Amino acid sequence: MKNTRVAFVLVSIATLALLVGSAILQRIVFKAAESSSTVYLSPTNFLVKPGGKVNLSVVSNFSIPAYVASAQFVISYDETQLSFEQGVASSGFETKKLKTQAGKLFWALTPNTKGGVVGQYDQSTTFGQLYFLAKQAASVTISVDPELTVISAIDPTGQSALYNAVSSVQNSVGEVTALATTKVVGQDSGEFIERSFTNFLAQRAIKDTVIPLVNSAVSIVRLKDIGKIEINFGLTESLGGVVVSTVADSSFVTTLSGLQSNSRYYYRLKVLSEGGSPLVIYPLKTFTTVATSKKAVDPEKSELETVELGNNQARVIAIQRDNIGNITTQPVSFAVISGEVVLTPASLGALSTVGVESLINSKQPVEIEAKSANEVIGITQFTLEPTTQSAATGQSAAGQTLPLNRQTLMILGALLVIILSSGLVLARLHRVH
Amino acid sequence: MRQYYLILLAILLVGGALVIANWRLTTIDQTGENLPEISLSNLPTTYCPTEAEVFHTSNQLSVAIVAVSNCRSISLSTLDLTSSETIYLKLPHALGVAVEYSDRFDRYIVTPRVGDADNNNIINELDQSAVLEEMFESSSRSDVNMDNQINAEDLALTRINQAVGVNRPDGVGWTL
Repeated sequence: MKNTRVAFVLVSIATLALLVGSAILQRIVFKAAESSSTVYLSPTNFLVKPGGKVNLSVVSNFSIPAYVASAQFVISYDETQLSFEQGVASSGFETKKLKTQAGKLFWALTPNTKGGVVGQYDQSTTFGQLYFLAKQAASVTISVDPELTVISAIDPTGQSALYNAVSSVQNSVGEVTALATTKVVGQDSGEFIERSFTNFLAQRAIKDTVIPLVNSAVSIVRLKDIGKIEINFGLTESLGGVVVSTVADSSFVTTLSGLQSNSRYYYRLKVLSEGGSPLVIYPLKTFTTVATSKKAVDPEKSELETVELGNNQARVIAIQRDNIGNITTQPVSFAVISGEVVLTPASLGALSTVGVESLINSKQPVEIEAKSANEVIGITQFTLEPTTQSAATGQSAAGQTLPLNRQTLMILGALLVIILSSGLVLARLHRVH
Repeated sequence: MRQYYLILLAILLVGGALVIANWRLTTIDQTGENLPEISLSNLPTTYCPTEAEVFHTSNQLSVAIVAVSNCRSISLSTLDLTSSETIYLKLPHALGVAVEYSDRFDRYIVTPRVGDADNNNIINELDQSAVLEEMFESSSRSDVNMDNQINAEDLALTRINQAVGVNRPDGVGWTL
């Protein structure tokens, strides 16, 4: 009788867990399998003699395999320095339209896959070659328009849903000079050489966050490798304001100041080389500054942002918001929950921040808590490492994100309960028999 | 022993009812103002038609231009529908579709194929040509995804959605 009761209790628990798990799983929306790509012109840096040919490949580097239905590239060049000769689609693609107008090249291509209208492309894909003629000695830039360049791809899990796979573009810069005497590296250009091409694709922004405040905004950018950044911002798409980093680093916390409250701002991030030339240009984005709030802090709306600076250092920023999302400026106290670290409070505009520095010379997990008016507004966990490392992005090899938030924990908890309950029931039934 | 099974059965029933209630609450239009309705799904996010051509065969042949609310919802409440009939529907730059209506259901989810640039109810090479002709130009007649520009996305729609739409049963061409 006692065994029956125990078995009953366990089966009830398992049933409830299954029901709860079912309800939770029903609410999960599986993220679409969208690829993102950087479109660039290869080589990104070149030397050529006046009168020489400039042969550039139009390349897209996909994060995960993309199912491409069509693509358009809009490329700008200075007509006084270069003349456009022709565009040739790579095998596997066909040119649908090619037009030049006032220093702009418009090129539409589609896959020419037999028996289908969509081609699957992985990693680095060359869509075609562009041939220019260098007219005179000058520094030239051939740029890819980040707004008008589109790679239209299909999400195979979302039936016919289309998306633009282009997430960033990269320009090509060169020098037309009589000193360019080195012979061919490229395909058919006798006076064309590549330089500084190694490893450039590794460079990109792996984090680009803007925290809008009342009269300013804080930009947090983390790069894959050491470099510089430039942020252009303004009330219109023509931007106007600019902030450029003065030192090369992999993490940047930049204040965009002198902003109007309650206003929509446009901004564009550019990733620069250590020497200061643009490497990756991101599309225009927007943020809206907030109004001053004297309301109480809402812990649910507040959050902590962690910037891992490498070399055993990090910075934690407390963003306090009221119940409608406006920024409040109550004093914040930070405390170490775990980790051998020293905290150095600082301020960042209207935000409270704290510098975190490791006291030991080895990798360690750290947990920091922030309180406002004795109420916890957030806890952040991160790892401090002795050497500069790229922070973990939480991205799996397949490119999908599994955020460790409350919902994820609930799902994992429900699954754990189901597994444990099932195991216990089976063990009990086995013993009974 | 029997009481345990009864309690277990009760838990299952209550749990099942909760799951069904949860599903209904997340899918049903709370106001009910538009019901019955045709809900448009899986369309390009920018595609926002304001009107649809609806043809139905209740007591007599009837065709009407009805409003599309919030880009995705077509109310059937103003139509004189019988308890069961076929509704024919056409949206701008999309292929015609047929919906089997029954008064037992409140919502019909429909996914029209978008890409009919020339609005002849067929998506084929001619639509590709129409888009390519206006691509990179100031014209916008072939803007099939309604994002105010003719670009690779419009071209892609004319390629991936190639098909022939459902015609009006009276043999007359669609006006949209």
